[in-house]
Amino acid sequence: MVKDFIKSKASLLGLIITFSFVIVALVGPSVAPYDPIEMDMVNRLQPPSQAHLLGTDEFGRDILSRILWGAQISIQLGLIAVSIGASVGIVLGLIAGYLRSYVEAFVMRVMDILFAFPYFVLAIAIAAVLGPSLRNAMIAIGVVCIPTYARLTWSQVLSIRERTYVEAIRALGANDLRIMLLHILPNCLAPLIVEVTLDIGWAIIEGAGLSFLGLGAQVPTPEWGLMISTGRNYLAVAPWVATFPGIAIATVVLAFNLMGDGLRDVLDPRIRTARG
Amino acid sequence: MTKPLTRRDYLKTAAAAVGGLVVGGAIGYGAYPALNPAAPKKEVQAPTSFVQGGTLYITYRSPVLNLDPHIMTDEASYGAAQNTMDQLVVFEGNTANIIPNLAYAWEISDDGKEYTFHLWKGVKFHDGTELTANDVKFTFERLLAPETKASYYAYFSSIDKIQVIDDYAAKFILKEPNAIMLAALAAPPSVIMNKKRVEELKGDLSSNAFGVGSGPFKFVEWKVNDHLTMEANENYWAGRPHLDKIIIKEIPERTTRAVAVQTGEIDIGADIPYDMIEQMKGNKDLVTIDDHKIGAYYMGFNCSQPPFKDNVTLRQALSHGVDYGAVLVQFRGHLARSLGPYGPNLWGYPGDIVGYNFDPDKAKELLAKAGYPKGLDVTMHATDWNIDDGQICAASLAKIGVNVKIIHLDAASLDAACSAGKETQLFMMAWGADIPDPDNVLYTVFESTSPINWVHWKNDKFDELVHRARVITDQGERSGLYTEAFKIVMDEAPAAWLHDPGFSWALSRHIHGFQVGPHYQYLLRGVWKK
Amino acid sequence: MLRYIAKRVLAVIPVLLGISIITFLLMHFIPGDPVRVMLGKQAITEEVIERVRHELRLDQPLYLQYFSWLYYALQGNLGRSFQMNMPVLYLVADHFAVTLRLALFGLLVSMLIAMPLGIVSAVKKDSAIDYVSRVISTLGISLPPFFTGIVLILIFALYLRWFPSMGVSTELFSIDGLRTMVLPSFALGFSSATMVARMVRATMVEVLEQDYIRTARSKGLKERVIIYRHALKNAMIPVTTVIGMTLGYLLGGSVIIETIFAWPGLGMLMVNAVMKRDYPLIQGIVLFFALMFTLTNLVIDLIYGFLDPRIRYR
Repeated sequence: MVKDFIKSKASLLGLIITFSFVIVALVGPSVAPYDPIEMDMVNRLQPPSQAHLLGTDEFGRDILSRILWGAQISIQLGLIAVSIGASVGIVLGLIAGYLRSYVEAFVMRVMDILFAFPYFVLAIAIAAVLGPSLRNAMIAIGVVCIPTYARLTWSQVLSIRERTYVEAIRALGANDLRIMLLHILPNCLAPLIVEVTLDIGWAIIEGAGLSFLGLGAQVPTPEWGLMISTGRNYLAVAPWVATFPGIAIATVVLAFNLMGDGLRDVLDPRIRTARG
Repeated sequence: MTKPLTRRDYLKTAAAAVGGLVVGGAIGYGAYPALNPAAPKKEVQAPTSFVQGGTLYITYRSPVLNLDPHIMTDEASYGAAQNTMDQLVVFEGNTANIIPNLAYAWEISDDGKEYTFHLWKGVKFHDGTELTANDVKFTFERLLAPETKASYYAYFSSIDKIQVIDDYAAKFILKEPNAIMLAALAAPPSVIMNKKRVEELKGDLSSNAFGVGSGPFKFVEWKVNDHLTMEANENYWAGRPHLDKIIIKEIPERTTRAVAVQTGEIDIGADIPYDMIEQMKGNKDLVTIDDHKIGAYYMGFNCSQPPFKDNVTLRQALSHGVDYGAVLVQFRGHLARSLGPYGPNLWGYPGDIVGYNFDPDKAKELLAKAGYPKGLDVTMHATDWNIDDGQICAASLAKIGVNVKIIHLDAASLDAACSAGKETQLFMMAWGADIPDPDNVLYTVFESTSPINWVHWKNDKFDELVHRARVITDQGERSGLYTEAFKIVMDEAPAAWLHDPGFSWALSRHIHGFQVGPHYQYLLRGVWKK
Repeated sequence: MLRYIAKRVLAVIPVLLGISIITFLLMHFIPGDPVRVMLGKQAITEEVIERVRHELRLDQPLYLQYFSWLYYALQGNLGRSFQMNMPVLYLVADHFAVTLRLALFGLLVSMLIAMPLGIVSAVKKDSAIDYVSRVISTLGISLPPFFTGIVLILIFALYLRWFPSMGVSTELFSIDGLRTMVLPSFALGFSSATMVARMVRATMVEVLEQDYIRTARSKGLKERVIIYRHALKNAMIPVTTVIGMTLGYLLGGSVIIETIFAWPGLGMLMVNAVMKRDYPLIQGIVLFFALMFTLTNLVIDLIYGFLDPRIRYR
C-alpha cells in the first residue's frame, strides 16, 4: 500500500512538502536571521535584498524570519483545531451510530443544526463570543469541524455494526465500549484519516480568514494569515509583504491536500469526504 | 487601517458671546458683493472655464449610516447631509471662519442670549415648499426633543426657545451665553429641515430623505452599504451647482478604494494609504490632498488606576520612551508630530512648548525614580484605526523594559472600555475637535468631569482655568488661560501625544473646486468636472 | 414518495429552531452592551441608556426575549435593525440578492474550471496530466480567498484594466454589469472548484471501472462516446450533491470577497452587524443563511431521492 502511495507523484510531492514544513516548524525559529517582532522603521517596506531575503514589512521586520516563526503557529493551528473537531466528532459519531435509538436521534439532530450553519458564520460567532485570539480561533474552527467527523463516523459505524463478526462478538458478551473501541473504530479509520489530512489544510486557511476579520491571531504574532491580512494594505506598493506568506500558506495547504488525495486513492478511491 | 473619528457628546457649555454684531455684519456684507436682502442671489459670475454637467463618483472611508441629521454621528453621513441640506451658517472651506449661508445676516444681543437670523427669501426645499423661519423653529425643536436623542443635543441645550419673528427671521433665545453657538450652527447636524416633508415621512428619515433639504443636490436614492445618489438642484438659491449627479459609492477595502481612483472608476477617493499617495506622485492624472484636523492621536494613561495613578514620573518616563520618529515614518511626511493636545494651528498654543522627546536613557532613569527600576508589564487597548501606532509605541517601550500586551478590540468596545476606565492601563485614542475652539479640545478631553476624559485625569488648577475660560468673551484673555492650562496638561502627562489627525484624498485631475470641511464633510457645491 | 418528501420537510423545522436558539444565545454572550454601542455618541446619561434598553425590551429575561422574537418571526416580522432602524427582512432580502448573484456566478466559474479538470483527471488517471490538473484544482482551495481577490484586483483591474475593481449592483444584464462580476466570481469560484473537481474525478473513476463500460469498450465504441454518453451521465448524480454543497459553501464564504470587492451582500452585513451588536439583524441574517442552506440541501436530497429510488426507502 505504501508503494502505491509513493507511485503517485502528486502524493509524493505532498508528503515531501509536508515533511519539510514540519522540519521548518521545528527548526525555523533557531535559524531565523532576525527577531520576528523587532521593528526597524527606517527600513520599512524594503524589497527583497541581500540583507533581507524576502524583504521587510510595514514595520521593518524581516519577512523571512516571520515566515520561519510562523510555520509552527500554522501547524499548531491546523493540528489543534482538527484534533478538537475530530476527537469530539468521532466520539459522538461512534456513540450515535452504535447505540442508536434516542441517543442517535438527538446527537445527529444537533449535528444537523451545526451543519446548517454556514461554517463561516459559526466561526465568527464563536470567535466573537470567546474573544479574538489564536487559541479561540482554533476552538472555533474545531467546533465547526465536529459535525463532519460525527457524520462520517456515524455512517461508517452504521454499516460496520451490521457485520456478522460484530454480532458474533456481541453474542459472546463483550461489553459495548470494548466493541466500539477495538472492533468498530479501527474499521472506520480510512476515511477519517483522509478527512483529517485534508482538514488540516482547510483549518489553516480558515484561520487566515479569521485573522482577516480580526478574530484570530493578534498582532504582532507572525501568523501567516495575519501577515497576509495586514500586508494586503500594501499590495500595491510592497507586494512581497503579503505575497510570501500567501505562497507559504498555499504551499503547505497544497501539500496536505495532495497527501490527503493520495491517501484516499490508496485506501479507497470511493471515499467521499466533506471537502469533496 | 484608520477608522473615522466619531462624534462625541458634549456637556453643557456656558460662555460669553463673541462680539457678534460687528463680526457677523462685516462678514455678512463682505463675503458677497452687492446684496439685495429681498431676493436670493445667484452665485457670483465665475471664471468662464467652468464646465456644466457630468456625474461625480466619490467614495469615503466609511459607509453612510443614517440620513437623519439629528441622529447621524459618522463622517460619511455628514457629507451626505452637507450636500443635500443647508445650515444657517457655514464654515468657509476648511477654516474656522463662519460665513452666511441660509441666513444672510444675523445679530447677537449684547447679553449674548439672543441670536436673530435673517433668511433669504424664496429659498425652496426640493419638494417645492418655501423655506421659512417656521422650518428653522421646527428643526431645532425636533433636535432638542428628548425622543429624538439627537447627537448634538448638548451643544444646543442652552437654547430656551425659538421665536418666529416673521417668515424670514428667527430668533434663538438662550438660557445663558454660549461662545460656540455659531460654530455649532455651522455643523452638518444643524441643517434646516423641511417641516412639511418630515411630517409627511412621520419623522422617519431612515431610508428616504427626499425633499427634506434645500441643498445644492437633491437626494435621489440610498442603497444601504452600496451607494447613495444625488442630483443637481436646478433651483438652488445660490445658483445651480455645476455637476449633474453625484454617486457616493461605498468601498470598505482601502486598497480597492485606491485602485478605483487610479483606474478612474472613482473621481474622488478618501483615505488613501500614504504609501500609495507617494506612489501616485508620478501619476499625472491624479491630484492628492492632505487633510488635517485640530487635535491629536495619543497614547493615553489611565490615571484612575494603577500603575499610572498619582505617578506623574512614571507617565513622564513612558512619554520619553516612545519613539515618536518611528511613529511618524508611517505617514511619509504627511502628518506632523503633535507635542500636545493640539498644534500651532489653533490659538492658545504655547509658543515655547518643549514636549517630550524620545530619550530612552532619560526614560529608564525616570522609570527607576518612579519605582520601577526593573521595568513593568502593562496592557494596551487599541483598535483597527490606531493599532499600528500602538504597535510602534509598544515596540519602543519594550526596549526600556516596559512590556506591553496589546489588546485589539473593535472600535465600539474600545470606546466602552476607555469610558468605563476600569480595565484600561495604556490605550490608543484620538480626538479631533468638533468645533475649532480650544475649549473643545482642552475642556472636552481633560476636564475632570467631562465624559470624554478617558484618561480619567483630575487637576484642580486645570479645571479652574478651563472653567473660567468658558465664561469670558475676550479671546486674548481666553488664550492666556488656555496657554496656562495647556502647560499644566503637558507637565502632568496624562497622555503621550503622537501626531495630528488627518488623512489624504486622491482625485482625478479633471475635478476642480473640491474642498473638505472641518467635520471631514466633502463639499461638492462648487465642484466641476472637465 | 410523498411520505419521503413530508419527512424531509418536517425535519427542517427543528433544525431551524435549533439554529435560532443557538444564535440567540451566542449573540447575547458576545461581550459588549448593545445599547451603549448603539447610542455611542448620542445622549449618554444613564437614564437614557436605561430608557432605550427598556424600549428595545433588552431588560427582559432571555427566554422571554427569544419567544417574543419567535412569535413575530413566525408572522414574518424579523424586527428592526438597531443601527439602521430599518426592517431586518428588508435589509436581508436586499443584500441577499447580491450574495446570491455572487454565489451563482461563483458556482458557474467553479463548474467551468472543475468539470474539465475532473474529467481529464479521471480519464488519464495517474498520468502527468492527471497530476498537473490535480495540482491546479487543489491550488484553488489552498489560497486564502482574500489573497486571491486582491491579487486579481491588482493584476486585472489596475495593471491590465480589463475589469472594474468593484461592484455596482444596479444593472446586471448589461455588458458592464457582467464585467463587474468576473473578478469576484473567479476569486470565489476558484476556491470551491476543488471540491467539485475531486467529486467529478472520484465518481468518474468509479464509473469508468464498471462492467458496462468495459462491455461498451469491447464492443468497439469510440472512447469519447463512452466518456460522454455513458460514464458522465451516471457520474452526474453524486455530482449534483456536491453542487448543492458548493452553493451552500459559496453562500457562506462570500463574506471576505464582498468586503474586498465592495459588493453589499449578506456577508458584509453580517460582519457589520456583529461589530455593532445589532442583535435583530444578526438573528435575521443567520436564520436566513441557515434557511437557504437547509433548503438547498433539502432540494438536493429530494432530487437525489427522485433520481435514485433506493434512497427513498431507507
